Parts: sequence; C-alpha cells; structure tokens
Amino acid sequence: MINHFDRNVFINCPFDHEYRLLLIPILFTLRYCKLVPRIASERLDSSEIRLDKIIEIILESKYSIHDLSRIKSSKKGEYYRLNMPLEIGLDLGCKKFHPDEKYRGKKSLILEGERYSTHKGLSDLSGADVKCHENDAEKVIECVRTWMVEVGRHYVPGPNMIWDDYNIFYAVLSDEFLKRGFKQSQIDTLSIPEYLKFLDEWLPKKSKLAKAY
Amino acid sequence: MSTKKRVHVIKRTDGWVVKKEGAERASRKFDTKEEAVDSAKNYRQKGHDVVVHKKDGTIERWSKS
Repeated sequence: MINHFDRNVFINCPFDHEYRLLLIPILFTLRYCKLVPRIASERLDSSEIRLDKIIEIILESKYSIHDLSRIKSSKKGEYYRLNMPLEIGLDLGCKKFHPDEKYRGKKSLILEGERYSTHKGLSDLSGADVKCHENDAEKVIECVRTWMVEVGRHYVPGPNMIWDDYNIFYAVLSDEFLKRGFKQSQIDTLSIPEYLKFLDEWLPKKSKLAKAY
Repeated sequence: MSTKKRVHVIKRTDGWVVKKEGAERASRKFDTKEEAVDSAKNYRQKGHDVVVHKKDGTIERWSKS
C-alpha cells in the first residue's frame, strides 16, 4: 500500500457485527472526503502479528479515530474490552514521544456512544474533546465530518450530502453484489477490503453522475 | 429492471426525505416515514425503482418497477 501519511486515518474500533453499522459509515465518510482509512482488518495475513500491524498503521497515519463506545462490558460476567484503550495509548504515545517531529502534528478524534461515558472510565482524558455518536449511523457521519473541518481539511461536503450518498451507495452496492450472486446477508457482512474497493470504484462514477444531472 | 433513476426514502435527524439518485437535493421532506413512502409511490407509478432505507442506512425494502 502506498504510504500517504497526511491522508491516512488509523481506525481504532471494535470489529463485531453490531459495530459494523457504525464502522461502514465512518469508512464511507473518510473515503468520500479523500482520506485513507487504515484498519487492522485491511489485509488478512494469519502469520502477521496483530499488534505489529497496528503499530505500523499508527506510524503511517497522521490522523486517528478512536471509538471508545464499546469498552464497557455489556452483561454480567463479560470482560471489558481493552484493545481500544491500549491502541489509543500507543497512538498518543507516538505523538508525544516519537523522536520524529512529524508525529507532533498527529490529530485524533475520540468517539463515545453515551455522552460523558468516556471520562467515567478514562479520567486521564478529562479535558479532551470527545464526540458522541449515540450509536447512530447518521450522527457518526456528522461527528467525523465536523472533526475533519476542525482539523483543517479544505473541502468537506455537508453532512446531509454525505449521509444521503451513503444510503444511495448502500443500494448500489446491494444491487451490484446481488447480481454477482451474493445474498443480502452476505452483502451486509462484506469484507472491509471488498467494500472499500467497490466504494473506490463508485466514487468517481458518482461525481460524473452528479455533474451530468 | 427500470432504466429510470432510483428514488430513495432516507431517514434524516429531523424527518424523512425522498431523493432521486443523482439529484443534489431531496425532492421533499416529511415528518414521518409513512408520508415519505406514500409520496415515493408516485415515482414508482412513473417507472422508478423505490428503495426504502432503514434508519441505519441499510435497505428495508426495494420496490422494483
């Protein structure tokens, strides 16, 4: 993969089916705004150690999105999830301590599902700006879009335009993959690399369609 | 399958909209999903496929003309 440090965004989030309904809109918004999402599941190589892959992505990314909405256990006997806090620690450590000055310019978005919940579990982040997506796909797009404006991205379309196009893209994706012999349930769980590949093929066509309309 | 542009019924924070694929703006905004779906039926009668989306953006149903 070509290294675009100034456009790469490290995504630190869970990868379960329930969270996918937020992950997919996040990926869509980043690609729509010409940023490059980087996640641990972007390539599947069983021989690769996951932590090494994450450190490599952190070193290659100026931007990062850390979703801490799923760190709390949701039922009795379930462990809390420590991957996300570990990875935000690695990313913040890189920004503060890496000898290369370029890492001082790293920019992060911290997301939570319930307002003020992050500071209850991670009080060291008190004072940090945390955006709340309320576990809603439209709101997560708005959080990511607003953050992109705040970190100085020049061209960021409006939230309604991104959200509407996300819905439309989902229909285009479904239509195409049904023709390719997929079931809707398989389309809803399509692998991330396959999803991103199809999105990257669609985005230029979408721009042409909008101009021709 | 219809060659006309698809029409989408989409949830927004402040209501529901009906939007034709490729259009810059939604054609109309409604307070309820039922009103939006009703309005989209007019497009279906004119030969457009209508896609009703869930509030998470995925597909609830697809009415092919």
